[in-house]
Amino acid sequence: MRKHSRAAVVVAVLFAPFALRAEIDLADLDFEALAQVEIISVSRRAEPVFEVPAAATVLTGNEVARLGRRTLPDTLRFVPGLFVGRINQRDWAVSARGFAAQFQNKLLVLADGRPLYTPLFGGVFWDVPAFVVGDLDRIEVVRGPGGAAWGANAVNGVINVVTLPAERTQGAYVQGVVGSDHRGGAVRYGRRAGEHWAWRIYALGDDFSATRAAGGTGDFGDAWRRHRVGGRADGVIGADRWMLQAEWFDHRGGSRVLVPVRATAGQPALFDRGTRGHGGHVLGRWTRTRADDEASTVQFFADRARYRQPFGGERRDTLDFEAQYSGRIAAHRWSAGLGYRWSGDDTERGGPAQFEPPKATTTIANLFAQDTWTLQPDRLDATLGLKLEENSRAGFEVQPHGRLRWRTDSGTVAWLAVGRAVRNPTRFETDIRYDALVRPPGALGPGTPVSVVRWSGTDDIRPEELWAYETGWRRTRARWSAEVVGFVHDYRRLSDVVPVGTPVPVQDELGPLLVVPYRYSDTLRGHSYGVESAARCEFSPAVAARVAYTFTRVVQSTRAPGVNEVFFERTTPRQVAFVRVETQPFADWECDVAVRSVTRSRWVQTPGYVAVDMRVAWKPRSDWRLEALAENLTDPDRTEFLGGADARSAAVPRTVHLRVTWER
Amino acid sequence: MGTLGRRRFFRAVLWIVAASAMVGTVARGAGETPRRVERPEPVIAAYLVNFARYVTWPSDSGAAGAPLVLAVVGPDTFEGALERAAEGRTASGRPMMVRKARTVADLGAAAHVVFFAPEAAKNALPAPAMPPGALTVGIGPGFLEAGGMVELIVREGRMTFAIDLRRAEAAGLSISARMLAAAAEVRR
Repeated sequence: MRKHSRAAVVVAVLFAPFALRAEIDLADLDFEALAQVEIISVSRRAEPVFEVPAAATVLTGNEVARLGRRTLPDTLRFVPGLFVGRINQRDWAVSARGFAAQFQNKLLVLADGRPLYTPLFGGVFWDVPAFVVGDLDRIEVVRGPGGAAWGANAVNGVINVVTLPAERTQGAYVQGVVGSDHRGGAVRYGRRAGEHWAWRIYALGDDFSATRAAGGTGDFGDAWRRHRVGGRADGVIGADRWMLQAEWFDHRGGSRVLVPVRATAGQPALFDRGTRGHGGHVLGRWTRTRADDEASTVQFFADRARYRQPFGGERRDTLDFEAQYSGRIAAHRWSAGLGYRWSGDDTERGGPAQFEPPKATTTIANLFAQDTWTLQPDRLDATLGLKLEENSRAGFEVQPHGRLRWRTDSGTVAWLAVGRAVRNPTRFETDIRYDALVRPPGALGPGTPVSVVRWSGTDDIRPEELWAYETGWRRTRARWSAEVVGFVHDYRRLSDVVPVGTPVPVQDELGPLLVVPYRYSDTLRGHSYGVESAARCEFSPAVAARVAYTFTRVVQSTRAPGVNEVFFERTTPRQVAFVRVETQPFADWECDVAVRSVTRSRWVQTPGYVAVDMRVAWKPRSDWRLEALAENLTDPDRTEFLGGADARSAAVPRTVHLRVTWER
Repeated sequence: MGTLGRRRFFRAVLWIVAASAMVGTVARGAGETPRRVERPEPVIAAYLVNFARYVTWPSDSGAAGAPLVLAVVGPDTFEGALERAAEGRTASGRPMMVRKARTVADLGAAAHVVFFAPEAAKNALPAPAMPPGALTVGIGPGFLEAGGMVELIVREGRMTFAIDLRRAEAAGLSISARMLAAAAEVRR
C-alpha cells in the first residue's frame, strides 16, 4: 500500500476506538435512575409530515408495499403533483410542476441522501433505483425548490427514497413476481450482531421483457434486466447512531432506436447498441443527537458508476462529504451545514454525442444555514434559509428561501413560501458536440450534400434560475385529510439549443457535408403555475380512499427559434388525477382499485387517457402474502410519452402479475 | 483529469472514512454524556424486569425456582431488548423468561408480568383468558382506565409509571413499598 493509504488506515483505526463507548445496562438501574433516562425518539420534536410548510408527500414503506408496483416511476404515479409518463419498458418521464421530458433536469432523486442523477445531462435514469420493498422506510417527495438543505438541481422537487435501518429489517424476506412482462425476485436476510448493531444483506433481480408491437409485428427492443446486491449495517453507541451501506448494481437492456448514421449517407439506421448501467457505492453516516432538536450528522459517500446509452456513455466517480448541525436557541430552531462534492467523468468516444474535453471534473462546495423563528408557539413561525454554492464550472450562486407557517389546534396548517433555486449547467450544455439529425443529400435543397444538425455546447451558458412562490393549506383529522397547494414558478435562463449562422460546407473523410450549427443558449424565459390538491378519507377500518388532482400550465415568454421553441409548453399534460380505493373485504384480504387520468399532452399528440389498475392480496398467515396486480385494464396499447432521440415509445400494455412474499 | 485510477479512488475513500471518524470523535464533548437511548423499548424492558423484582405473586403453583414469565402481547417491537434485560437476572431468586403472544388467549397457563403492545391494548382488557395473578402493564394514556394495573407514562422524553393498586391487590399481587414510592401516581 502506498504511504498515504497506510496513513489513512492508521488514522481511521486510531480514532475509531475513541469514538466507542459502552452502553449502560438499563436493567441494572433502579426506578429513580430509570425515570431519568432520556428517550430520544420520543423527545425529539420531529415535525410530523402534516405540519411541514411545503408541498410534501410521504409514502410509507407499507403504502409502497400496498401499491405493489414494480418500478419506482410506477409508484410515483400515486404521489400528488407528479406527472409520470411511460416511454417504454425502461424509460420514463417524471416531472413536477411542468417540464416533463425523458431527461428532465429539474427533479433531484436521492437514495438515502445520495443523489441518483448524473451531472452529465442532469437527468435521472429511472430504471436505476431499485429496492427491496420490505426494506423501504418511506419515499419523501417535496415539490418546489425543496429546502436549502438539498443542493444542486433541486429546482422543481426532491424525491428521497429512504430505507429502514438494519435493526428494523431482521430475519428473512423472500419475494418473487411473475407475470405478463416481468419476472423477478428479491431476497434479504438481516440479523442483530451483538448488543448494539445489526446488519442486513440483500439481492434482487428482475427481467422485464420487451413490449410487443401492436398487431404482433415484433417488439420494441426495450427488454432489460437488473441485478443488485448490497448490505447495510446500523448501530447505536450511546446517543450516537452510525450507518454503513454498500451496493453494487448492474442493469442491461436493449434499446433499438433510430439514430442518424452518416456512413449510410444520412439514412437513419436502427441502432442496437444496448444500454447498460452498472456500478456501486459506499455510504456512511454518523449522527449524534443531544436533546430536543439538537443533532449533528456527518455523511460521506463514494460512488462509481458507468452508464452507456445509445447516444454516448460515461464512467463517473463521485466523492461527497457533508456535515449538518441543528440546534435550538430560545425561540429559534436553526440548522446549518457544509458539504463538498467531487465528481469526475470520463466520457465515451465515438458515439453520436462527443464531449470536448472527454474528461472533466466538477467540484461543488456548499454552505447552508436555516432558522425557524417561533413567533407564536404552536401557531406562527417563520423560516429563513440560505444556501451558498461554489461550483467549479458554474461559479457562485446564492439560493435563499423563506416560509411562513400558521397552525391551529384543530390540525390545520397554512403556509407561504418564496425561494430561489438554481440549476447548474450540465456537461451536455457546455461541452457537447452532438450530431442530432442527419439528412440525406438534397434534403436542404437541390444539389446539397448530406447535412448534419450539430449541437454544440458553450461555456457562456449560465445557470437556470427559478423564483418560486407557493402557498398551501392542509387540514388533518383522524379519519380524513385534505391539502391544496398553489404555485407560480418564474424561470429565467432556461436552456435551449438555437441555430447560429448559416450552414457550413465541410469536407471530411466521409465526403462533403453541410453542417447546420446549433448552439446551447440560456435566453429562454417562462413560468409555470398550477394547483396540486389531494385528499384522503378513511370511511371505515375496511375502506379508505385517496384522491389527487393536479393542474399545471407552462408558459414560455420568449419565442426563440430553438429546439425548445414550444417544447416546454406542450410536453406536460395539463391535468393529472387519480383515485385509489383500498378495501379489506375480509379479514386476510385486500382489494384495491386505482383509476388514473391524464389529459392529453399536445407534444406527444396522444389523447388523454384513463387507466384502471386492480390489486388483490391475500395474507393466509402472518408470514405469507400473495398478490395479483393487473395494470392498465382499460385503454391498453396507448402511448403515454415520447422519448428523446434515443428512446422509442412503446405502447403501454395491459399486464397481470402475481407476487408471493414470505417474511419471517 | 477524468475518473480516478482505482488506487487513488480507494485511497480517497480511506481518507474520507478517516476524516469522518475524526470528526465523530472530536465533535464529542468532554465529560459524561447523560444516559440516553434511542427508543423506548430498552427502558420498557428495564421497567418490566424491575416490576418482576418488586412484586410478590401469590403462592404459585410452580415450584420454587420456577422462572417468572415476562410476556408481551401484540406486535413485538423489542428486537430482543426484553430477552437481554431478563438474561442472567433474577427476581426473588427466580430466573426470568420471556414469552411472546399475539393475543391474550395465546398466553398459556402462567404469565407473571404481561406487557401489552400499544396496538394490542385497545379492548384487550378485561380479558377472561388472562392467567391468574398476572400484572398487566401497558403504555398510557388510558391504560389504567381500560382496566390495566400499571401504566407506563412517557412525558418529556422520560418514562415513569402509575399503579392501580386496588386492581393489583384484587388479583392477589403484593407490590412493595419501594415500587409504590417510585410511582408517579398510585390509585387506591
